[in-house]
Formats: sequence, structure tokens, C-alpha cells
Amino acid sequence: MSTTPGVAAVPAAPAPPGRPAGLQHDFQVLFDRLRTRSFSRGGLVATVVQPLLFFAIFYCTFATMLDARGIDFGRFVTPTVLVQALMFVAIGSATDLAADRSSGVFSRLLTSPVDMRAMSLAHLAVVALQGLLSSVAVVLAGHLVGFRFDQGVLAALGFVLFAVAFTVALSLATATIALRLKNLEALSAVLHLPYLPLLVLSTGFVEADLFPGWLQPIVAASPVSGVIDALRALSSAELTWGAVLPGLAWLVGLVALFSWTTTTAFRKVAVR
Amino acid sequence: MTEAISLSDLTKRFGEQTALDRVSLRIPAGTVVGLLGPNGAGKTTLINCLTTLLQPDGGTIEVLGHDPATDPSLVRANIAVTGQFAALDEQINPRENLVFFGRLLGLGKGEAQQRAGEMLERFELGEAAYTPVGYLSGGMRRRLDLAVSLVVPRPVLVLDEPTTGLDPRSRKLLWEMVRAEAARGVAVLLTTQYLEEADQLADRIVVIDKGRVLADGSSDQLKRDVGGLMCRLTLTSAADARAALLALGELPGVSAEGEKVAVPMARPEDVGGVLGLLEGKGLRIADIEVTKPTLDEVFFAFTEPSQAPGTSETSQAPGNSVKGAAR
Repeated sequence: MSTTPGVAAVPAAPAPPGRPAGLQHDFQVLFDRLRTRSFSRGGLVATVVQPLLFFAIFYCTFATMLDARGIDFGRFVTPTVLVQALMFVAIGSATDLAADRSSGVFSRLLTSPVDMRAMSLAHLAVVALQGLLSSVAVVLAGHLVGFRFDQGVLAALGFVLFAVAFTVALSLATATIALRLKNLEALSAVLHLPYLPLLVLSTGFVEADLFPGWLQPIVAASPVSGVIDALRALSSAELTWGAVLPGLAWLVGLVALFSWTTTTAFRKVAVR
Repeated sequence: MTEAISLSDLTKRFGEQTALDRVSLRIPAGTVVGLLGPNGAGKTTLINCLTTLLQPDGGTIEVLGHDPATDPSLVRANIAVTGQFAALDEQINPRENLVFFGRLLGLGKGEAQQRAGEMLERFELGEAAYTPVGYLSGGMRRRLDLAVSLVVPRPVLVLDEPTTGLDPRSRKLLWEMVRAEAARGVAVLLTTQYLEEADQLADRIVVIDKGRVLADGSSDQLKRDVGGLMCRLTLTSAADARAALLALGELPGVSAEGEKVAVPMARPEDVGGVLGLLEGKGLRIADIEVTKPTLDEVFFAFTEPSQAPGTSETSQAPGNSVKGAAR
């Protein structure tokens, strides 16, 4: 009844930790688990196979039509396919987060001596990695149909960096929903709802001035248009700050806004 | 010495509703305390406060001298928790789950691998080591869940209804584990719906309802407090049982069901008086048994005094372990 706790341990058992291990350690362990998931068969289908499949479908449907209008399919549509892939990455990461919430893993983490910042950082780091993976896959596929980086290595790096940052911004938005939503079964429907309008009502497939007059302001002001236009600019010969700036402004604004909403939502779940 | 767990006047409100009302509880090292109460009594709220998932509105909590409000991570480092539902990553296999949580709790990669192997064997999960958790049976999941909680031994173990839905073999294995942990000096707090489980495992039982502690003592103590002894009579027919109920009507707390009549009594020799009364009415007794109340009866006596078959104001002899049982 009065044994000192923890000392009379089973022989092979390691000593009790007694205190937390630290941010870097926690980040590494949490990152490893999520990375294993994202490199699993299911994870790679979502980040690589699915975007390539969509790419092939878009090529078969739009290439001839765009060609007839004098638009280079590879250059015009590759950034669109990429943005769509990044949307799927963001939706997938929120689904994983919701799975951790409903399975109880999230609660177990919250009752473990884990640095809470490590939980968010590991989530975003894996999202960034998945965004990078999708970007490489889509750019390589784009190369087969005429996509090129005209401004050399720096602009290409900027392109990839921009794409990764956009994945993080979107994932912050979807994470907020995954943390806020009470009915997690509705998550998939809620996340897929805005995806199609956002993508179609943008300059992704059709230039803004070809939309009906009343839709043109919406299309021009869309964050997705801004991002796709910036990606196109970063890969084209006519790279100007003016073409990148609206997308960049959206990116900064979205990251700021959704960092705040995610942090608030996380606190609400973690500390009640 | 410092208690492993010490709660004083713990209070938690959800809006108008008071989920925990000045709950005090002490658990020394090496002791298993069973927390009993009907659904909605406040058991899970208490556990959530203790394990840093909820912030209490009043009172103090200490886990090995650490306060969850000021040192949540030190409290977390010392408490292993198994909740009502298996909390496992379903997309990876049992071994990966054990390695992940082992590393998270400070084991090196190699150490965590080795420990995972040991736990798989100890919890009879060796065959399923590489099957994704999503495909495991309910019993296997619960065993793995407990294995994950114990992968790094900690001085406090909290189990929230750990055997709900478990098959008898898994339940037995789990009971053995809990006993082994307590023998090592771990303080165990366990909530359960199964009174037998509390009777088997707990050194002390705490009954709570509507957020208040109603009783705190060993199983024997509580049984004594509730009503001394219970005389169970079986008559030859239900009609006779009703007649017996009338004959014994003056004794407090008598109840009848079918052919059976239950009579609470303070001392074994009171049985003579009961038999005399029945004989006077010409009623024949098929079977008689004098026992302590079961824990079920204790539970009802404290949580629903009006429905408890063996309780009455006079038969209660509240010792210092009973806190306002009669409401």
C-alpha cells in the first residue's frame, strides 16, 4: 500500500519519464507517424495518382478546344490541375485530423505530455510535404504536355514554394472546420462543397473575360484566380510583380486569417 | 507521504448543471479505487478534470504533488489514461501504435521497438501485430488500448470503464494487469458499470451520483453500512410470498418478488423472529438464505434509496465512511 510509485517496475520496463521530452522531440515523433500515413498506398493515391488522373481527363477534354483558341494547354492548365490537387491535399489532411478526433487519438495526445505546438507544427509540416509531392508530380506530368519554367531555377523554386504555401493556407482553413465540426460524419460533405465552385468560378479553365458579365467580378476577385494567375506568371516568360502580387496578397491574408481560426479552434478542443 | 491522487472540493459546472459538487478523493500509491455511479453521475467529468482534459470551476487537484492547472504537462507525464473507447490510430498496426506512443512518452526508437514487442506478447496480441487496427476485433482493440496506456509505466493509471463490451477472457486478462500494476505501486482509479468488477478489483469503492460523493469505503464496509444482513426466503408460491409480505409488514424494508421475499436484518439471530411470524400464519418455506447485501444492493441503496430492497432508515448504520447516503 505504501510502495513508492514507479520504482518497483517490471524488470524490462523503461524508467517512467516523469517530465515532458520537449518540442523538437515531440515534433519528430508526431511528424514520423503522419509522414508514414501520407506515404502509405492510400496517401500516395490522394497526393499523386488522383491529380495525375484528373490531369489526363482534363487533357482529353480540353486540349483540342484550347488549342483551337490558340491557348497552350500545358502552360494554361498545369497550374489549375496543381491547385486542384492541393485542394485535395487540404481536404485529406482535415479528414485525417477528424479521424484522430473521432478515434480518440487526439484525446490521448492531449492527456500525454506532448507539446501542443508540436501537434500543429507536425500537421502543417506533413501538409507541406504532401503539397511538395503533388507539385513535383503535376509539374513532371505537365512537362509531357508542354509546361515549362521560362524564367529558370529561381522562378521554378518560387512556383513550388508558392504552391506549398497555398497548401498550408488551405489546410489551416480545413483544419479549422475539422476541429470545429461536431458531426464529423458530415465533414467530407462540408469540405467538398466549396471545392467545385471555387475551382470553376476562377480563371483555371477559362479566362475571366469569357465569363458572363455578372460573374466576371466574382471570378476576378477569387483567391483561386489570384493563386492560379500567380503560378502561371511564375512559370511564364512574362513574369511581373504585378501578376504575382494579388495571389501573394491572398496567400498572406489566408494564412493570417486561418492561423488565427485554427489556433482558436484548437484551444477550444484542447482546453475546456 | 504525498498521495498519488488528491482531489479536494472539486467542482465542475456545465452552464446551470453541476456535474461535480465538491468532490474529495484521495488515492495512495498501490491502491485501486473503484468509482461507481449511474450514467451521468459525473464519473467521466471527474476523470476528464483529473487528466487535464477539463478545467474545474473550483477545488484543487494534485497528482503526485503536481497541479494540472499550473503544471499540466507534469501531470500528463505521470498519468496513463484509458478512456471509454479505444483510442488508437486505426490506419497503422498495433506495433506501430505502441512504438508511436512509446516514443512520444520519451523512449528511444530501439527501446520503443523492444518495448512494443514485449507489450504485444504480454497482451496476447502477437498474431495481430501487423494487422491494421481498423481490422481488429473489439476485444483486441481494448487490450491494445490498455497496452498503449502501459507502454511506458507511470505511477498513476486511470481507467474509464475499461471492460465495457469485453469478452470474459479479455476481461480476466485486464483484471490481472490492473492487479499487477497496483502490486508495483501504481495508484489506479477505475470507473465501471460492473459491480462485480469493483468488488473484485477495488481496495476502496467510491459511490457518486449527481456529482456528489455518497459513500467511500471498502466493499465490505459499504455492505455493512447499507444494511447489515439480508434474509432471502423462497416460499412455495407467489400468493404465499404476498401473504408473507403482509405478515412481515411491520419490519422495515421488506420486499417481495415472485416467490421470493427479502428481509433486511441487523443480526443473524433475528432470523428466529421472522420464521416465527411466518409459522404463525402457516406459511411453508422452501428455502432460506442469510447473506450480506450484494454490491448491487449497496449501489441502489446509495443512488436510489427508495428502490433499494434491503435498505431502510433503521437498518442503516452509517459509519464514518458514509456521507449523507439518505437524501
